[in-house]
Amino acid sequence: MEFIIQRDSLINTIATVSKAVSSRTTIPVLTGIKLVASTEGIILTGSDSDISIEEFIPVEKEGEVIIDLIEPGSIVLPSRYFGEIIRKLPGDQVKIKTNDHLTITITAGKSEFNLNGMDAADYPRLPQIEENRVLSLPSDLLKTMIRQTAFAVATTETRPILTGIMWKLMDSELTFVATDSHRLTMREAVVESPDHLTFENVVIPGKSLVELSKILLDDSRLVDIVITDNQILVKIDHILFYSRVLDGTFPDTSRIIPKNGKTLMNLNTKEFLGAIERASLLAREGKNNVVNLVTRDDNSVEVYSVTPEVGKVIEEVNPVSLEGEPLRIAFNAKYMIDALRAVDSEIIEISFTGAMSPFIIRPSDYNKILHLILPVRTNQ
Amino acid sequence: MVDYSTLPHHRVLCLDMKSFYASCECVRLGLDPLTTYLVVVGDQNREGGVILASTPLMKAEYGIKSGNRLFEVPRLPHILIQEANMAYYLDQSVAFTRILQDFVPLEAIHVYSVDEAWVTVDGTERLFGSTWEVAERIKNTLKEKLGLTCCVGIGPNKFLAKVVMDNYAKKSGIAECDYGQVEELLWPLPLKEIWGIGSRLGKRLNSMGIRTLGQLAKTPLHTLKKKFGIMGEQLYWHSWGVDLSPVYASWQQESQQKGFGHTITLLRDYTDVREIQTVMLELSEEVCRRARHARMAGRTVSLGIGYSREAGGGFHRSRTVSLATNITMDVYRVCLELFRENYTGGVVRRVGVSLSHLEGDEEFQLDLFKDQVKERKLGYVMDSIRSKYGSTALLRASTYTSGGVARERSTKIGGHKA
Repeated sequence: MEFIIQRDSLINTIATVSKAVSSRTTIPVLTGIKLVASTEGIILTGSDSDISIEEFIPVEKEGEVIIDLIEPGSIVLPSRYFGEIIRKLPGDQVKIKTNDHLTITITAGKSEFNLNGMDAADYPRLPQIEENRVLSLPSDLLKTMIRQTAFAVATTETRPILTGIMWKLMDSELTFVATDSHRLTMREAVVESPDHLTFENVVIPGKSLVELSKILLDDSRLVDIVITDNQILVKIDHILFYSRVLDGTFPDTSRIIPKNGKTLMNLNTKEFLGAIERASLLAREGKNNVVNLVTRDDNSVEVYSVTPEVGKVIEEVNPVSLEGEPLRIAFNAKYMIDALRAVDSEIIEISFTGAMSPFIIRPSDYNKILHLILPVRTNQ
Repeated sequence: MVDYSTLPHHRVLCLDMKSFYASCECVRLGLDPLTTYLVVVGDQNREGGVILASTPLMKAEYGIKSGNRLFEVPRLPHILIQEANMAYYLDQSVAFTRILQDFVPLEAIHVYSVDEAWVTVDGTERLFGSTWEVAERIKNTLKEKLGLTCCVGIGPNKFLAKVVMDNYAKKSGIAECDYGQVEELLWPLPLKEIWGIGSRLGKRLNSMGIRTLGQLAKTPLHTLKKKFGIMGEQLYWHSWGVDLSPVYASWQQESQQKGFGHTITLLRDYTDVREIQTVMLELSEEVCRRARHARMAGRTVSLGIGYSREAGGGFHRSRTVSLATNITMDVYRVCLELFRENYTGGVVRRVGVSLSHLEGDEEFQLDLFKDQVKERKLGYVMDSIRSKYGSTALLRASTYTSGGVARERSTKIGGHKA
């Protein structure tokens, strides 16, 4: 294998595929990046067996020659060294050439590196995916949907299925649901998909989707998503992103969401977020981060937190509107802050159904986002 | 050299009840502990039953002391072999502390174990005379009221009182060591006789060429600090007789329970994983019961597994969960995770479970998929049934399997017959 490549282009591709490379893998070959050169271009692959990312660099892009003098071949190179070497090399072009015994020579300007590689034949093959179920959605929408749900997945392995985001597609409406069993986030969006295409309980690891969102661009270019029973494949330009789908059944969350609130309030998101953040300063991390919220007779809302050893904080918040039963409730400030930051709306509506029941936060003008939080039970 | 004039000069007594269990047993039988040949054994029916205590005469004439086995005791008509009556000994221990309270306020007493306590007698000169006189008074009162003999160490701090008691009071009954006598009395002592230096630490010090306390005192502070960290610093100061630990209990510290833990040495080797897990569940239940009793919940679960003596070793691992709990099954699940990740398939002889990182349990995060309120309540209901009808009134089915130890344990205190 031998080729000369534009250094910028190679740096970007290594950055992309190395997102899937983990240094803590039990399969040594997976600490590397696989390079395959053909006459059309070169393909780089990184994988940690949960996620795999493959990117193709064509010989020519928009009339500009990127790769020159290709002699086909393949090798696996240690990800960390390879990436750092290419980044630090001088000049615009890099020459990569394989020698005997799985070593390569990297030359740029007056600099020359010899690097040991591994046999590409030992690299696991990427899953073969049948492209029966395909849907398309704009890159920025997918990115937003991930950002608005991924924070709510469980971080512990107590119930592995909850470490994923559940995808559902019905009547061209795509729904993401994430929960760690103390709060739940749901995001819906209408997408382009064939009429007959429906699925549910496709649970994709939150970690995979966070990595995916780093690759997604902030524009409305369409990305294709192929869904199978145990893998998903996302196609973005020259990038193929594969992720494992979690085994198991995601809990049915439809019945958890209370229908009729007893106390309803509309609040300025920024103002309320500020009040909660301030109150949480005195709430203790290890102790559920408890912040209390009380409605007052004069239609204002009081947010307070008390930690006897430290001090207390009280703040008055004036809601845009407040109706229904008086309320006294305690909750984990972190969950509220996460939800408010992900809402993307100036005014939010919170609907409470008593101090021991879940409450719902939605944007007041938009019904595609829902955050549900379970309160903290206190002895007050 | 240490300038002793700036250090606290308290009047601290360290009391140790001589052959406590054996003496208690003699008193119970109406015999004089000092003239009776008697041993207290954990289980009379097992030749390997461990000797818990023996009277001074047994130690002096037959060399039988606690830790020996039943088969080592000569079967002679004048030697009495008694099974433990733990509940009675504990009553006596409480009586012992109560007598101390006739001399000093509660915060001046630090109960160290069933038969050992420190007493700070500062400010009692006008009532009871010199420190030596108070010591004699307490000693006589204990003999009079409980029929038990004790040894007393006197020092300006707890460390000196304890060490001089261990090494010089056993024969004479009372011994004193002031700062000025550290060099003469303590420095010649080999390390293993010093309180706080166990066999492992002793070996490490020996390998540095340090065999006596005096040699330890002559070792530069920074060398010890480098090798043993903060403990090295403590070792150094102790060797000079310096101990700044408080001689009065503060109530705040006292009420701060840090965690609840139980460790059990199994009666036989366990190899079946299910049997080991049964014990883990029973211990989780016990630990959670105590947490619930204190209205606490914990976030850190620790599991300790000790392999049988032939194999040796074991592991001790802990995991902190995001939400505090006192629900038995939650704690058990974490134990199971730790067990699966660390168990290498050895023969198990010791299991321990503990719950720490405590907070009050009145406040807890609700859960979408399980009824937290109900699960918590369930624990309290089980506890109240047990406290009303006895600890075996309500047991898990697994307790009745071959691995279960809870039924056997309920008849014991501190691992021996109640």
